[in-house]
Amino acid sequence: MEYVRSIWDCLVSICSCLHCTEDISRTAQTETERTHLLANDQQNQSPALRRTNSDLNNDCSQSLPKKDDQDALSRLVQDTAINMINVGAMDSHHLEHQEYTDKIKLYTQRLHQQWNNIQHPGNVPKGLLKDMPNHQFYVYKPVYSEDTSQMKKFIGKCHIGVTDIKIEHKEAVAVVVPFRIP
Amino acid sequence: METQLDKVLTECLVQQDTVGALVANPQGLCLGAKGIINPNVSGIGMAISEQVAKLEPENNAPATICLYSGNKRCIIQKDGEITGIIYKHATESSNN
Repeated sequence: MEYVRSIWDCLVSICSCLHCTEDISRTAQTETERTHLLANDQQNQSPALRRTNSDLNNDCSQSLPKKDDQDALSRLVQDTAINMINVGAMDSHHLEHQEYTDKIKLYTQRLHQQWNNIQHPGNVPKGLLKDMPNHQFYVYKPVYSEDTSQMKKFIGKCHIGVTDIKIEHKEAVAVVVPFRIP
Repeated sequence: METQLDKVLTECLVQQDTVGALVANPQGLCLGAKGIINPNVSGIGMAISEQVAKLEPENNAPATICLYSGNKRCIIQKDGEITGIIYKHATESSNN
């Protein structure tokens, strides 16, 4: 439990520190909603955090996770930061009306494009020739109605004929099975 | 024993252009064959009918398959546990 708590504290400190550094660096470059929160976790770490980490490493070397675990954890944090949309940086309050409607149109158009690209499960063709666009062309030879009716009658009569098949025992069958003969 | 089935096969051969008829069971084994038809085609015929049934899996009606060669045509149908194969002479109209 102590182990998990130490990881959690570490995460919290990283996040708070990042927030501080973000405020400082905000003046340097303009941000959008897609700007990564963590450009590089090693560089962005404040001296205080680095010191905290080194102290932790020294004090709790036994209970702290190993290097691999730490790497995995930092990778996880980095991935989460990359996938995050910074809503605060979206600057949506200062959008002009025209710009706003343009963005709506743009996003609607993109959505439509994506929607058309998706193969909807209901419309997906089934069967062996599903990947063939015009399979009627390849199987254009007709099946004659007289052939179909002949086959239908034939099969119907065969059903009756097959049920009529019975095994007739004409002579006694003696089955001798050799058993464990060397 | 199988006299009824023999009779059905013989009746089928009387039909116009028909040269051979065969009946196969669900394992593709020949239950009976008459005319100019190889009993060994029973397995292939049943396999073809099973593959064709996959073309429209939601359609429960038995599919009729017609294979055309130079001078003959082969009609296959699987209905329930029975697969029927009939060989017929290709007529002038079917060659076009």
